[in-house]
Amino acid sequence: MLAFLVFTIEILVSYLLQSTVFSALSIANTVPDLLLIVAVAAGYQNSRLRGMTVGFFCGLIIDVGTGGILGVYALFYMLIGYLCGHFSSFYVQRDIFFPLMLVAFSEFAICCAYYVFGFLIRGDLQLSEYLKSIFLPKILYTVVVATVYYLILDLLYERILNRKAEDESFLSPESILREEGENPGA
Amino acid sequence: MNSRKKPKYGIEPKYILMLCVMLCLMLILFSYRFPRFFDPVRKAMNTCLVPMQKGIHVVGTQIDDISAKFDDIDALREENEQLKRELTELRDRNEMLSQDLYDMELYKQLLELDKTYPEYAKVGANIIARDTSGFYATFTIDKGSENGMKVDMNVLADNGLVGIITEVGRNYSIVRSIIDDYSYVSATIMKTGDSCVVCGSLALLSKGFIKVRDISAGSQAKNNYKVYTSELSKKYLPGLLIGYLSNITTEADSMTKVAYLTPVVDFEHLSTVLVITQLKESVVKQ
Repeated sequence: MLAFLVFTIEILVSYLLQSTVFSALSIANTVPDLLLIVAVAAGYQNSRLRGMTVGFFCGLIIDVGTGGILGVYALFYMLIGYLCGHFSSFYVQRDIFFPLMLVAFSEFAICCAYYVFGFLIRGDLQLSEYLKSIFLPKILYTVVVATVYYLILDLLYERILNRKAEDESFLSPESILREEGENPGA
Repeated sequence: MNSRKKPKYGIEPKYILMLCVMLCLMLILFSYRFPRFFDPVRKAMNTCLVPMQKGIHVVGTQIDDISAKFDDIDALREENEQLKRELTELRDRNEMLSQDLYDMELYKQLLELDKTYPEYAKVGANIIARDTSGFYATFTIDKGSENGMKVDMNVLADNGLVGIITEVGRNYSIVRSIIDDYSYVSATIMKTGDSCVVCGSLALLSKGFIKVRDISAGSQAKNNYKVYTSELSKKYLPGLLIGYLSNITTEADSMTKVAYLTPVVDFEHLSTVLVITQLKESVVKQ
């Protein structure tokens, strides 16, 4: 329940910041993708399942805000969250390099998805132009913002989510480990 | 590795993922096939989010106002001087023009002409949020159905066309601007009267242009000619200024010409817009 609350607030705040404050502070027409950072962090710090769930809602809120077909970015962000969950065993507190790499690769993947499903399917082949004018600034800006934003999320995770993990019914690495220890071979 | 561990319920996350992917795909197909079906959900979520965005917008503008007050006073004084000079010049010209206007009114009466430039009822609105993907140019304004907004209403700023409303909620509307890659506007070129299509282009956007297509090969259009919305358009009201032509070239098949267009609206610093509360359909019916 606590995790649910924390992630709901994280997603809401990120979306609001992204669509208002950072839109005003856009550099080279790009806005940092805070929701992606949230999805990546949720997967990387917790588990595949949590990354997936948080990613889904991150994408859904973007779908709803843009006003197009529902579910496209929910799907992409969900996959990103799930894949980042694969790296949850590498999680180290305060380590910033690895999650930043994850953010950069995820952002690239999301940009590619935007390009393929928004432009390539209409026969638009100016990928090199977009690489220069959108992909690169967007990835850089997101990574720069992520250095601070990820640390805030990390702090939240450490102070609230990780401490409470023991009496959580939701899946977390700790509870999974505990389960394994209790019924070996289950 | 952790990722091989079995979760609590005994279902591998892999299978849950598959299930969710299927769910998403169904969601996509369903919302593609029945675009209006999810409107209540979408509107409910946006109706909750918009007041928060509005709040941030208000706080932001107030902070902006305060910081603007501390702007360089010298610069303002200098500007004031310059504006005074301009004012006297303009007053002079105004005198002359009002004389012309009087003459023109006379001629108009003689010719029984109607107003040359159409006048539409407009409502002001603030931009409170923008699309953040970088791939689309849509934004949210703070007026919705309770302020009389409807889908397909035209949006203006700086005397030029900004875009069109694509979705209306109770207290918000989503506007797709003409620089969006998905946007197409039928237009006419002033002076030559050639019809053409103005379409947004993501590739040209960083250079500050959008694209004009389908100008007839024999067109005499030159750089800096004005481009207006045309009578042919289904959704855009006629006679709205879009921008100025430049860089006209003939297509490889030499059937049509293409050109760049510099919009009159400064899309990067757009904060308030005007919505025309009249739909094209109703104008046509009249």
